[in-house]
Amino acid sequence: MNSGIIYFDNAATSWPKPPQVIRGVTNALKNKSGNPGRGSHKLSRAASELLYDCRVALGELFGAEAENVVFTSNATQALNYSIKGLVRQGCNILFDNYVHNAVFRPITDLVNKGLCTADMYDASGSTEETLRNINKLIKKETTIIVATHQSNICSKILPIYEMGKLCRREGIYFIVDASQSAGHIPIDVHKMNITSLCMPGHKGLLGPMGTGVLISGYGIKYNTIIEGGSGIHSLDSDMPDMLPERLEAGTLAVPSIAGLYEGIKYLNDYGLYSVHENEYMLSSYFISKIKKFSDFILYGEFDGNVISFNKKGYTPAEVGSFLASKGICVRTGYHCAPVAHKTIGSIENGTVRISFSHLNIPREVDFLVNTLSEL
Amino acid sequence: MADCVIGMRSQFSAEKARRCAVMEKISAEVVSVDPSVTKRGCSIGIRINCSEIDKFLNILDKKKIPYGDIIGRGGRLG
Repeated sequence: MNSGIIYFDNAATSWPKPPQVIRGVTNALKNKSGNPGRGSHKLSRAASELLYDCRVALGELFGAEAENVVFTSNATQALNYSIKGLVRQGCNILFDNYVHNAVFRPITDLVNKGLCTADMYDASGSTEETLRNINKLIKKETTIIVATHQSNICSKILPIYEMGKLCRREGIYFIVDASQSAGHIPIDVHKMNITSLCMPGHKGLLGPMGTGVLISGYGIKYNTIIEGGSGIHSLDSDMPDMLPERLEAGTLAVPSIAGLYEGIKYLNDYGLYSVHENEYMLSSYFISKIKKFSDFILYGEFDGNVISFNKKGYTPAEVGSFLASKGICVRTGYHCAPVAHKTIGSIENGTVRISFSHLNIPREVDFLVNTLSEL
Repeated sequence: MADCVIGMRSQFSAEKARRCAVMEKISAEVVSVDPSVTKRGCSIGIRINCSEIDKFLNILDKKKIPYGDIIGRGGRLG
């Protein structure tokens, strides 16, 4: 417990941040806040070196080359860059039925503009069933498959290793939305044949808001969505060909990236397996306790740190407001994923979502369950 | 001997090249390259002592780090 707040909204953004993340941001603001790549003076060089260090750390964490690590503002931007950067006129895109609006809306936009077609595959069954469903939908125009690695409304995890093999075999780009899995579950872009791995920096990676990452598995030349200054070859009318600069128009959020870098170092010290183990323990503990009450409905699968539920006789917003009045932070509603709510059967009102971090403790879960039972 | 500047194609490549140079005990610095020297406007390069140019280019080739022209002070050398 921290400052009288019990925080179970880590799927929205992680909190609290480790002290070294806060120190990293402060230090960058004081000592590394030149514009990276825009000068050879001390502050600019310090910022450039920091970006390089953070790219190397991200590359090592996700099994990628550091030059293929692109900084974005958030996962949504990384997903837009990936989907719209790889789309070709007349192509077909497949996406899953746990999809977040960060994927669903860009694809819908492309379909509405007549650039491509799109089909949704059912990923709610076993690995074999999911692969079978995808295979049934693949046609000669299919050039992109998007997968939600872990749902943001329950802990359903898609079989991305097997899906990556399928994509490689079929010559299809594989875009993975790792918004809820990065920093929670090990991911390797090469072993999983991922073309484009997209994630926020401010959730599982423990960085500040305003950070996101796109990791290109193969250094593909994406179409650009945003063009502008890159600090190099300023007389060229096009963005540079090479990653990461090709997708990094404009000034990067260096202080936030400094915090992200510290978050990654913290995670490396703590260990991803320890993170996952602790979160899984907390989820299992909550579920075992809440199942003792007959007036709670649990939704979806429980493989990780995100749980959706409702209390009979109350709307999610009512439950959320009551918990907030007791200092407990949760999220309610559709969580920007209406398609996923249709999949798990909660489209009528949405759900109350709790999402643990490795920093939560069982005593906080006890307090949550006791408070819920008072409603 | 005078300094040489090797034009780099990206900020990332420049920093990677600098670190590779330092690992091999070559003194190297990332510098801005005057737009009047390049045909493509503002650019970036690595400044090293010209006596180490062959050794440095071998490192870049070995590490597959792309680079551009070799630029001397105020003009092209090669």
